[in-house]
Amino acid sequence: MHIPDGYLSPKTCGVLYAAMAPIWYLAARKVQKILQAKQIPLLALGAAFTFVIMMLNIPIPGGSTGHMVGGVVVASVLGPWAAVISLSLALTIQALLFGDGGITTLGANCFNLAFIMPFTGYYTYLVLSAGDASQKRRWIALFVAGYIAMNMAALTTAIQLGIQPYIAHLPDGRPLYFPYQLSVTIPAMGMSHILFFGFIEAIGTAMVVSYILKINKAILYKPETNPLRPLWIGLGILIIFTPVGLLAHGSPWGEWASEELITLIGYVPEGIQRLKGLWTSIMPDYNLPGFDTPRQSAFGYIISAAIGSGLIILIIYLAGKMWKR
Amino acid sequence: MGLSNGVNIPEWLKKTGEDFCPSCAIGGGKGFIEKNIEAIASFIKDVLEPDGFADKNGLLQQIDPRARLLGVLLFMVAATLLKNALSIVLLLSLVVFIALASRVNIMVLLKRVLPALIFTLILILPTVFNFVTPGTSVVTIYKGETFYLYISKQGLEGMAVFLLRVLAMVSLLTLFLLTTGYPNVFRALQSFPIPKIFVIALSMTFRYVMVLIKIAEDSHFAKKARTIKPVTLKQSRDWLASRIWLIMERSMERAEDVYLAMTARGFDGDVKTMTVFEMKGIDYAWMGVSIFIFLLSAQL
Repeated sequence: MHIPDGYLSPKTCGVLYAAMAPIWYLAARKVQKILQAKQIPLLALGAAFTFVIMMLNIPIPGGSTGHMVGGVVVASVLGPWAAVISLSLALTIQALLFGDGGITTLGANCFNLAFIMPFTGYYTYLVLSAGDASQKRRWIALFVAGYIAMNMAALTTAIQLGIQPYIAHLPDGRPLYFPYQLSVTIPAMGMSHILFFGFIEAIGTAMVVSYILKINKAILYKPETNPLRPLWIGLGILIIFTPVGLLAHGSPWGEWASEELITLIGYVPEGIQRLKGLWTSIMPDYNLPGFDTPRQSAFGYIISAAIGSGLIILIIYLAGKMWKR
Repeated sequence: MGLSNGVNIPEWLKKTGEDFCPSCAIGGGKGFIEKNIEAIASFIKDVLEPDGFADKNGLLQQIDPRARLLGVLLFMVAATLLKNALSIVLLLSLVVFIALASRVNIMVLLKRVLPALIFTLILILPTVFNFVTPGTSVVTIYKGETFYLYISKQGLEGMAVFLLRVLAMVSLLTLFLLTTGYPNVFRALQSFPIPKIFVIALSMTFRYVMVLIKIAEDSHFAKKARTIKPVTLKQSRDWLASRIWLIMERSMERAEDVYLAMTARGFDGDVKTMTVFEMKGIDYAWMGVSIFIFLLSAQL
């Protein structure tokens, strides 16, 4: 999951560093507000913790091994914003001192593992365990949160790798950086994470955090607001960024949002089924860099994305109502 | 960071404990936890003692760590910008030259780079075939009525560029790590436009990694010493989850202690360092060369 140096084009590396800059800034400010001066040792320890966790390989059926990232565990103890910083610190140490993951790709790795992962995991847990959750529901919520967080991080990694042939190639179309297209990277990353690594993170997160819940609940991070509120904000941002993703050439945030929504609207299964054929024909319509997008299709896309996200909001709202009862 | 450059680890600490206690080898071979601990031990050894190249009187070692890091980063960006195999080979030969001038053993460098290279090779090997990269056939593997499999010239070229770039970039970073002890890495980072507080947190992270690994190791051996019959995989996993929690809780406790210790010593959130930035002639020359290479590759 750590993207090494040389896999991503300079453009992608730059964009992802730029995307992380405001996230790091915001995280630093949020953390200062919440944790005050205690922040430095706490963040460093959180980072050291994930670093050690990432080194513990767990055997998985079939003779292979995999490791946890611990993103959701850290997020549930320190809160998602502090987790951004802790995980970024851990990834920086890994890249800088151990040569694990690239320096030029550090922005990308932080985006996937230190931003997407703790946030999706933390809020998934928060939403699923909203209200007065039983111990069993908490366990399931943690399991699902770990699973989703790992798979979301894998998806954004796959997208970053998979867009390389589109945005950086020689005049004859040969890729300059990572050579496989989305039609290969998404199923490849998807398969390994849906089947194995997702479960490692899921079981690990559920076991460790439910252990903390049982032993010492006090060290867990307490959200200051209604657990469902961040969800609305998140979806709002997603909707706002969808058109931006169409305008910004090759912006991974936009790409991620659009990929997300394509998934939600239901194009992906067909695409995966027919691999290259359909994907390559769909991609130009969804404004992948290197292709000209007709304005009309962009409009249609925005509208379908809006409808899709509206539906999801509705479902989540209803589910939340039911749980609260 | 008050530690000197060369940290010498006594011989006995480097041993990972084979033949230590033969009767401990319950259930035959080593379990995954033991393998993990061995891997971690060798990891630490690699970082704390980068084969002694950091103390040699070579080219890179004479350059200020800050200029050294910036130069290496510029070279790395140059490597991402280069688009054809020949130019990357030229850059790579420059890397080899710098390594030789810094008295770094090329075989050691290669050994460090090899895992990343092999991983990348396996990953992109399918691109040489026509089903990924069609083009001019170089080697025909199978030619039938409906099925035609060959290695294409374009595929080979693409793979060469990709592999060479990864090789160049990983060697550059490895070269920096081999010639720079870890206290200097953090010292170098402090002069970059990153908030000092992050650099401090970064160096603290590095220290705590060592501490937490020690806790992990201790708890493993504590368990091992008390185990008299083979444990199942599930028991093993359960134990691991509880130890992860232990590491977590110890982390939190220590964070609290460290904060109190820092406050007691007058830390008020403002970070001050004693290092003074002083560029010498050789540093300017090094920066000049790396900026030149960077600009050159940006135009190619």
